Amino acid sequence: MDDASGLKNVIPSLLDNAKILDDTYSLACTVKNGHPPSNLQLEMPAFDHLTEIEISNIVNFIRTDLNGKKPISILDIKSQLNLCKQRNER
Amino acid sequence: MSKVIFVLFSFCLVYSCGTDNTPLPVLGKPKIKDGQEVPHYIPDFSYLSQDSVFISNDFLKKHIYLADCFFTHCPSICPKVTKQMLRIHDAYKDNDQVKLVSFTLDPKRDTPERLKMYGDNLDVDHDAWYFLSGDKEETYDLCFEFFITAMDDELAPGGINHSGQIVLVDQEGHIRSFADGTDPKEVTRLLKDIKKLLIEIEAKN
Repeated sequence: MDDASGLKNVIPSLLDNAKILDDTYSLACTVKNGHPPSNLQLEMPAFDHLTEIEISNIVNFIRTDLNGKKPISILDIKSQLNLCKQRNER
Repeated sequence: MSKVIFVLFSFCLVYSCGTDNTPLPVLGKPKIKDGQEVPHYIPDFSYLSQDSVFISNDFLKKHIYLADCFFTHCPSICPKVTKQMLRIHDAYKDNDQVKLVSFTLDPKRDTPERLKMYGDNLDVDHDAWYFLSGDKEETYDLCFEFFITAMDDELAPGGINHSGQIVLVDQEGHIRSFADGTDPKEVTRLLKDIKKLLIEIEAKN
């Protein structure tokens, strides 16, 4: 949706979404590797063609513009991406 | 000066609202029935709902309804249209006169069971919003009667190319209004048209 509000339980909202704002959850890895389908949620495709800078821009747009949270540094995003590359985390 | 413009503006607003009593038109090309030219109407149909009961246009004659064509795996416009259908659902779920009807273009995957789950995930009242499945080709033809184009297209996201209108049908099966379901402003107008049609029905009874 244009306003990032999702569609009930079919498409997750990007606003006030506890899961994606949790510091232990790497949104950067989700952007890069996608997300498998669950119940009726469609699969989120992987965006592994994006550069680390592009991924960090997306993650921080969701954090700051949409949710008023502090941004994550590009160095932290880099280390997150390295970790999920190793674990092939989805 | 600005005051004058404001007064003029509010006058026009009130004036145009007050005179907008023209009934909604019957849309579509006339058809030939028993050798007579008659206004366009939705042909007979009978489809399985998410509760595995048949919903026919005859059953819907007791109600006015909003129709769209979609499928649950649709990655493109369907979620936007569904969000607008949800707006209409939330406004009219407690009014038995108004029903919502969504025809799946992908009956192979969208079984009644899956459609029921889809409705649950949208928090909808299953007696207010029917998710219907039936023969695929027949559904494509029926959607066309609602002015909705639908065709198989390998290049389209999800494999089906289709348009996202939400169509308002009266108790006689005539199309009285429609909106582009991807445009919230258009749907705001459609909500007004629903109200108008309900007033028209009330005046008849």
